[in-house]
Amino acid sequence: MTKSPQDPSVAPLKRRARWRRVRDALAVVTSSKIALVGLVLVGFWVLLAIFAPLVSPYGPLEQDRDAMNEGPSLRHFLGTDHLGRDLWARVIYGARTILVLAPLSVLSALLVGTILGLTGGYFGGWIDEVVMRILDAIMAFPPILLYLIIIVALGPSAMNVVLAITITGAPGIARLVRSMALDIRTREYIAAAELRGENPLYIMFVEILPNARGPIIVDAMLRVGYAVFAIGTLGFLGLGLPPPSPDWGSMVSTGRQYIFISIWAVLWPSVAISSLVIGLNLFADGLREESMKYQ
Amino acid sequence: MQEQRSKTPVLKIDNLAISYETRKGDVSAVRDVSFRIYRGEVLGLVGESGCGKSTVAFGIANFLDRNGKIVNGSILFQGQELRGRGQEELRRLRGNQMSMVYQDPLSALNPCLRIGEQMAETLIVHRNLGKHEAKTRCLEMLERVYMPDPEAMLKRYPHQLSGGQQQRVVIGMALLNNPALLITDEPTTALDVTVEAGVLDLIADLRRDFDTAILYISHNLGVIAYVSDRVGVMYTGELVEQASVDDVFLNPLHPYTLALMECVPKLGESKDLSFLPPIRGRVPSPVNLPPGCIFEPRCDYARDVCRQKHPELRDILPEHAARCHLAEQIASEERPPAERPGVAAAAVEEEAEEPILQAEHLKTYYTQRSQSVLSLFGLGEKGQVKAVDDISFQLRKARTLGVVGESGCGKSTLAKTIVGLESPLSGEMEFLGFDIMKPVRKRSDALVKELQMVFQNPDSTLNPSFSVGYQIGRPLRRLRKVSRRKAREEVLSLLEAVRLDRSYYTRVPRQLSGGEKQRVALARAIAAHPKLVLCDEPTSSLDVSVQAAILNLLLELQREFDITMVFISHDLSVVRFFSDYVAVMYLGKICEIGPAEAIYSPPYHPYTEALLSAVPIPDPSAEQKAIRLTGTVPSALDPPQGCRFHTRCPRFLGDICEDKEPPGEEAGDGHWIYCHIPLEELRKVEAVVSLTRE
Repeated sequence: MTKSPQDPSVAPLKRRARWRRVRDALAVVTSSKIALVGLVLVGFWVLLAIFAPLVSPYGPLEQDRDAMNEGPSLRHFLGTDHLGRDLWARVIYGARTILVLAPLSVLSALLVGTILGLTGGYFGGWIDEVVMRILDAIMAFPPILLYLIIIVALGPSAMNVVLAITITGAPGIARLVRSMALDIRTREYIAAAELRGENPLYIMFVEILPNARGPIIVDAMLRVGYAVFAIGTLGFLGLGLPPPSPDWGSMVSTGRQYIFISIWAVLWPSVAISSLVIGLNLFADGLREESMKYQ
Repeated sequence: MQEQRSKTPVLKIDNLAISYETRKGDVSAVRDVSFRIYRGEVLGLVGESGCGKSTVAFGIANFLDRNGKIVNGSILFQGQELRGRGQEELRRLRGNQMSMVYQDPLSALNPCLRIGEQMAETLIVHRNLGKHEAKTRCLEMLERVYMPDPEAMLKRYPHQLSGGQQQRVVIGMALLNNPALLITDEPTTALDVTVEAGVLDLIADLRRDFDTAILYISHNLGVIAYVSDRVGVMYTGELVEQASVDDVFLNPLHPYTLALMECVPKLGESKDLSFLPPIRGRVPSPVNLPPGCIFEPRCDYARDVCRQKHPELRDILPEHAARCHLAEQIASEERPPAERPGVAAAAVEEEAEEPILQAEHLKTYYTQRSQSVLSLFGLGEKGQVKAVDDISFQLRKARTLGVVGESGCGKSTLAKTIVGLESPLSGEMEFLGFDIMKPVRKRSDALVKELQMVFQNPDSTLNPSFSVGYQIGRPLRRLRKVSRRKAREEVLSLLEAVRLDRSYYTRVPRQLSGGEKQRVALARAIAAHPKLVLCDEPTSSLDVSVQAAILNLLLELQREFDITMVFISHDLSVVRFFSDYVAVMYLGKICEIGPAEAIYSPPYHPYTEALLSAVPIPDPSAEQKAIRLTGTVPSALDPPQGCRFHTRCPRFLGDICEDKEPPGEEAGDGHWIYCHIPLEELRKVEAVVSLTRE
């Protein structure tokens, strides 16, 4: 009754099962209206960022000394800033920076946080205590203060922004992962894995982590929103990317000085930050509601 | 009995049908159920999970979920129709005449109120009694339910009582108002066997004293046989057989009842002598019922008429109704005893004398910090839970050692110690020549490969994120170093060995039933071809028919792969059926150990005797002594001095039991009893159980 190893009756079964699982995952997104709205908002910015050169008639750094602090017009869709740079161009090129930096920082925070959380949750004992106390110490700092310290110490640059967000974001993620690991660790399939002599790394990343992914993913999505916000804040405080790069936060900050002459240089970047954060939050909320529905 | 027939029944259900509303439409959970209960009568409603018996109870008590509705039928309670009445009217009609007792006593009692307050509440609200009078009645009731020290009990909170005591309080509360009908939904499932026996005795006594009609719902056939006068058997929402308890158990007419009776292991059956024929197929989903008779796809007697026409419940014999087209035929047939499909009995005798697993003076203690402020600083007292205290045994190759005991006796800890998930404190353990005192992380892969375990809870034994094929294949690839390509072939043949279709290879655990998950767990455990498999209550959470299938599978696999097994359970009949040797544990010590037949017949250790007399046997014609233990199991933090069992022992001798640990007396070939009572005395004791149908 045994068939050959390349048993054709098993392969299509596997393919069909995998495809079905992908479809199920997508169905969760599409069945929540909130998530769809969020997805549309985020998608809008993502598309703009990708096709920036095609959509913008000017470059972000092109100055036009004849058209400084102008409002929206036919030539400049959203107006210009104090150096005559087209605001539309700056906003959508700024989207590029943010849409790369924010997910990158969250990913890096996820990595660090997950490793710490899994380690603490699985091993318990003094390892858990040490890890948790260090994270507690970091969480005791107000995040903005922590950003300030890190950026001032290391200098403003994209990588340091990522580092700052990682350091402030990792403890929260580690907490979440740790609590899930503590719960999953009591399951019998973990005992079965230990009985097979699996090493702790395998158990943590292959047995425990995939079963904790639900809440972690939703939390990560929310954090991308916070990261956008944080990058905007850092830019506003002058700690973000150095000028002349089109960082939304610093655009708001420099535009502030001319706010009585022309509000546009402040308005458009603010709208951009808000809409992106709202979109990300809506998407995360919608996902969370859908996945919680059948708990 | 005849006079009662002419009186009105306390509860009369006719053609009851209950459905649940779901997103996909109405799902019918109960269809066409009819029965009557008279005063002083107990009707046992038995069936496996999902058959709708609890739904019937909830429907009667108007406790259905918001999406449950009664679509048809009538419920006549003391002559009054309950269906179609408003909430307030129902309250008045039912009032204090109908009570219900649920499975989990802790969730039936309010944790914030003292016992006295809760009990008095029912009296004060329904009967308008004054506080003092209510208290007196509560005291009376607590004495009636055999509670020690009733005055002190009234002042305690629920969490300060043991499970058995809580259930007694709940039963007492239910009977305080002298209801005409008592509905009990699996009231003893969560309790230990000895405690359960006490509660069942209580229910029998109370029904005699109060003349209450009782609807007793359970999936445990032994309990139903013990407690009921009449029995109704349910299958997927329908009543398939209804008769007196003797008729249902000794002369069943419906094929499902027949099959159910055959697949329950009875005390006294050893694995060599009989076989548990499982019921093939799966319980149908209520959304997708077969046309015609719903049991037909799994029935050995099925004919064409069964596929086409849905049978009605009709009286085949006087007072014995069955829902089957072929019932008359089955009534007149002689049923041969179940044949084991072609396996030679007792093939192993001349095995090697060397035991492959031995333990000597094994001790595993858990440290427990006391709950004081000092302990936060590591300065508090450290208590030790003596879970496994000085255990010694030996196990030969290809044999099965059954470990029996109630909750808290240390059997799970023993299993985890052998396997390496817990670290023992002292003693010696040897397996295949290896010293296995080390925790599993420090054991070599070669050793780990030979020792595997099957766990209790099928829902958490498999990783929900991976497919069945991956999980069975993992031990293959890791421990037997089989290549990926060959592993797939091996996994498919393992699936076949556990009787699962090849399509299960890609399924995820979410899509499997409890029994199927346990089969996958079995396949995973034997994938690496271990020499010893420990089974920690693998069938406790499964239905009777599924349990039979898994037990048969374990036996087959044991023979095919020549595996030695340690089988842990609290169910004495299952252990008897399955084991060659049995060890009875109590509070961390072994009371009695020896070959299975020797344990189940005299001489007994007093605890074994009490356990055997407490097991509910699914055979109303069997005779069973009634030895009931008093008191509760002492805490393992501070076990009694001398013999651990002396605080509850019905054969307590005197000071010697309190002072000295009992020595082991050899009562036969490898049969040891650890008791101070001399063997000659113990041999004079009669057998606890005598089955007339041997």
